[in-house]
Amino acid sequence: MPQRLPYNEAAAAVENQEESTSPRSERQDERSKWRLRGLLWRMQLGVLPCRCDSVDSLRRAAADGRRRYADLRRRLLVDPHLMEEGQKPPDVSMDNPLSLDPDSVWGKYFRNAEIERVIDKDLSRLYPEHGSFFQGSGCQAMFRRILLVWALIHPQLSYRQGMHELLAPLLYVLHVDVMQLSQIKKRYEDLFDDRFDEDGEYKSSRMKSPFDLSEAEDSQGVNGYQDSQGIFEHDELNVDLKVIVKGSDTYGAEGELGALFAARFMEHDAYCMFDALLGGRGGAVRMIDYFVTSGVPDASSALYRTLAAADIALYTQLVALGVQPQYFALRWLRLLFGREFGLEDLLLVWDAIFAASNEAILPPGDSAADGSLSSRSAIISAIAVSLLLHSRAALLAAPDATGCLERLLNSPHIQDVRKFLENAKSLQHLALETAGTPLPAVAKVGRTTKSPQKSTKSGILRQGSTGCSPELLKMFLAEGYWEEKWKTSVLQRTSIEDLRPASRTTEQPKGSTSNGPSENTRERTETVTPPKPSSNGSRVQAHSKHLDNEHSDAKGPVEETVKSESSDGEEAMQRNVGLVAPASNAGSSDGETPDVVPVKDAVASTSNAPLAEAVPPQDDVDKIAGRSSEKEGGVSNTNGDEVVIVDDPLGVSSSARLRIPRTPPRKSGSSSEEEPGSSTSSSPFTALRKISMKRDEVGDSPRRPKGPVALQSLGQSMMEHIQVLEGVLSQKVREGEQISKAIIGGKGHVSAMVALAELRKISNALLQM
Amino acid sequence: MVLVLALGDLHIPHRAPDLPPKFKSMLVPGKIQHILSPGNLCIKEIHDYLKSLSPDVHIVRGEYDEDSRYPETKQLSIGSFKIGLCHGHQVIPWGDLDSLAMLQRQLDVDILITGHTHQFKAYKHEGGVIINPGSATGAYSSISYDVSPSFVLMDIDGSRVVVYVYELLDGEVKVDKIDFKKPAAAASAAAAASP
Repeated sequence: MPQRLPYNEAAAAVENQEESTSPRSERQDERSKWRLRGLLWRMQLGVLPCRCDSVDSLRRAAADGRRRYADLRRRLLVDPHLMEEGQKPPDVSMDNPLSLDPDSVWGKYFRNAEIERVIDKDLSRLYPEHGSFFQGSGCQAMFRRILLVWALIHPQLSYRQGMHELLAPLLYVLHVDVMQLSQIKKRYEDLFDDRFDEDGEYKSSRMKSPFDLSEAEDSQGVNGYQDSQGIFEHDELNVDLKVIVKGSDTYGAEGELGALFAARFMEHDAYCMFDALLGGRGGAVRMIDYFVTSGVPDASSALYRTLAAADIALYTQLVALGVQPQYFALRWLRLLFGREFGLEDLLLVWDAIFAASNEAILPPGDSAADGSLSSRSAIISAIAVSLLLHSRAALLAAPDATGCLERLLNSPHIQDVRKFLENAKSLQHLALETAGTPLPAVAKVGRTTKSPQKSTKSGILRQGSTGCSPELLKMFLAEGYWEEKWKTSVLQRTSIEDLRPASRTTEQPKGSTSNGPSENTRERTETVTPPKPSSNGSRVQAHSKHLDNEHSDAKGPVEETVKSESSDGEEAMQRNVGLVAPASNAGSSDGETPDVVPVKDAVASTSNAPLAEAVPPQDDVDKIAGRSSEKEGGVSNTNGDEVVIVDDPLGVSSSARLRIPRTPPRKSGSSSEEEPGSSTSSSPFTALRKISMKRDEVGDSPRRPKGPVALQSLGQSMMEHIQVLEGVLSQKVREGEQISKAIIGGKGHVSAMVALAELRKISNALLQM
Repeated sequence: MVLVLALGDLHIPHRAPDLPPKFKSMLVPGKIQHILSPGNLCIKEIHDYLKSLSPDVHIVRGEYDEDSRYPETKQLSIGSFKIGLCHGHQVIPWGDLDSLAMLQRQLDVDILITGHTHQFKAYKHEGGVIINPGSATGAYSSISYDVSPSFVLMDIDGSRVVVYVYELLDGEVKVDKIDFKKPAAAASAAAAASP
C-alpha cells in the first residue's frame, strides 16, 4: 500500500534534512533521521516496496531491479567487435557492417547509433548551469545508456525529446544520496566499519558495531523500532540510520548488489526509477501518456476543469481568448514542470508529486473511469493550476492568446516554492472533485462547480442572456457607455430609487429591453470617469474618511455600475475595476493608477495608508460605491460605487456616505432587491439612472452613434483601461512595495484580478456587439 | 570504430555503366566515415556519388581519370594506422608483391591500397597489409576480361583492423573477413620513433 505523505510533513522533513549535520544528530545514540530522497523516491515510485518489514526486502528489490537493467543493457547495447566466447563464429555474410540484414549485429549497432545521435543532441543541452555534474562525460555516458536501453525496450515510442530532463533529477538525487552516504559514513564510521577487515585483531574494545546499533538505540529508549510495523512509520519521511547502515552492509541480503546506496549502481537505479516514472508501475499517472499524442489533451482538460473550479474568471478568460491548454501544458506535463523551476526547487515539487499516491481512483460522478485519476494526477493538475494562478495578472491583461502563451512559457521565477506548493496542495482536492465533470462552458450559461455567481459570469459573454445576474450584465454592458455618455451630456441625476430598480433589471446589449435600472447603471458608469479626474483633492479626505470607516468592509469600490447584491467580493471588485479603469484612463496619470490599485486591493486590506492613497482616483468609485451601498442598506455592491462617482461631478459631497461597498463575506444575503433605506443625495443616483436610461436608448437617441459601433469603441477603450490597470497592478506587485503587498494581498488581489477579468469580458462582449 | 571504404577501378562510363545494384543497395550514406579510392573512376559524377556516401573522400590518379588534379599517391592516418593510396599502374610489374612492398616502404605506411589489376588481393607482408580492392564494377582490365566486382571495407578500431571483402560472385554478394592487428612492437617503435 503506497504511503500518503502529507506535504506539510514533507516540508518539515526537508527542513530537517537540511540540518542533517546539525548538533541535533550529533549524538550517536540519538535516533538519526536522514532524508535521503533517492530512497524515498524509489519507494514512492514503486521501485522499492514501500511497506517493508525489513531492510532485506528493500535490498532484494533493489538488486532485482539492477540485475534486470544489467541484463537488458548487455543484450541491447551491442558492440559488434565483442564476440562472446563460445559463440559460433558469426556468419560474415550477415554480420558485415554493410549488411542489410535487420538482425545483424551491425544493423542493430547502426540503429542504436541513430537513436544515440538524437539523444546526444538533447544531452549536450542538459542543465548547463549544473554542468559540473550533468555535463561530465561519465554522467553523460550513463544518461546515454539509460535512455538508449529504454528507447530500445519501447520501440514504438522510442526516445522523445524531454525524457532526458525527466531522468536528470532522478540521477541527481541518487548522486546526492551517495554523497550523503559518504558523509554519514564519515560521521558514524564506527557503525560502518567492519572490524574484521582491519589488519589487526579483533578489537574487543570497540563499543559500537552495526549489530550493536539496535541495542544502543534501544537503550536510549528510542521507541518505534520494535513495535513499528514497517521501517517507515506512517508519516515518517526520514530514513533511519539503522536502515542506512543495514542497507549499506556488504554482507546483507544480495551482498553488494543489494546495497541501497551504491555509486556503482547509480545507473541501474536511475533506470529503474526512470522506467517506473514513465511506466507508472500500474498507477494512474504514466509519464508515457504525456509523450503520446492522446495523453496531453486529456490531462490538459483535467487541468482546465480544476482551473474552472478554482478560478472561473481566469478560466473563462483563457477559453475566450482561445488558449488551448495543450500549448503550455505540454511542456509542463512532459517535463513534470522541469523547466518551470530550478533544479533544487524542482526536487521540492517532485517531492510533493511523488508523495501523492499513484493508485487509480474512480472519479466522482458517472464519467467513464479511464483510470487516469489518482492523487498524483490531482496534485499535478493542482500545481499546474497554481502556475496559472501565479501569472493571473498578466494572463488577464493579455490581449490575445499569444500574449497569454508568452507569459506562461516565460513565467518569472517563483520565489517561494514551499508556499507555492502549499497553495497547490490546497487545490488538490478540487482536482479530485472535478475529475469527472465536464468542462464548464464558456459563452453560455453553464453549470459550474461553484456558486451561481460564477455561472452568471460565464454567461456574461453572451449578452443579454437572461440567466445572467442583472447586475453583472449591466456592469459590463454599461461600462462601454460611460465615456460615451459622459461625453454627450452631463446627466441629470434622477432619484436614487429610480436607479435602484434600474440596476436590478437585466440589460440587453442593444438596449432593447433595458429600462430604468440599466440606464441608471450606465449613467453611473459613464459619469464615473469624468468625475474622477476632476475632484480628486476634495474627495480625498472625504473618501479617506469613508474608506477608513469601511475598512472592515474593505472592498475596493468598483466602478462597475452593475449592481449585484448577490455578488461576492469579486463582483464588487470587478465593478470597481471597471470603474477604476475608465477612471484611470481619464485621469491617466501615473499617480492615479497606483492609487486605484491599492484601493481596489483594499477590498481585503485594512490598512489605512493604501486606502488614503487610493482615495483620490477612487473618489468617484468610492463615492458611488458608498452611495449605493448605503442605499442598499449596506450591501456592498457596485451600484453604490457608481453612485459615488456620479456624485462628484455634481459636486455632491459623498464623504459621509462613502462606503466601501462590500466584503467577501457579505454574500447574497443582501440581495439587489434590498432597497437602500438611506437616501443620500439624489443627484448621483439620478445621474446614474440617466446613464442607464441613455444606454437603453441606444438605438433611439439621435445623439448616440450607432449602437454597436459605440459599444465596440467603448469596449475598446475599456479594454485599454483594463490593460493599463492590469499593468499597473502587476507592476505594483512586482515592485513589491510594502503598501502594495499589504493591499494586494491574497484576497484583495484576487478580487482585483477577478474584477479585471470581468471587465475584460465586458469589453469583449462590447466588441462583439 | 571507423569504417573505411576502399573501392576503385570503376571505369565508368567507358567500360561499365554503373556499380552493380546489389553493391549500390549496400552502400548507404551514414555508415562509412572515409572512402579511399585508388583511382580510375573516371568521371566527376562518380566522385560526387562517393562524396554523397561519406564526407571524407580520398582519390588518387588512375591513368584513365579525367580529373588530372588527383595526386599520384596519398598518405593518411586513421586510428593508429597509416594508410597509403596509389593506383598501381606506376608500379611495375603490375600487382607484383615485392614491388608493392617497395612502394609501401617508400610511403612508410602500414596499409597500402592499390588497384589497376582489377583483381582482389590482400597480403600480410612485413608487418603491413597490402590490399587491392579489385574493380567495383567488374570492368575488364588490360590483362583480363574475367573480372568479378569487388570492393573492400575496413573496420579500424584502435590498432586492430578487420577487413571485409565484398565480392559479387554468380550474382550473389560474398563477404570475407580478414583480421589484422598491428604488431605492438611496431606500434611502440613507431611511437618512439616519431618526434
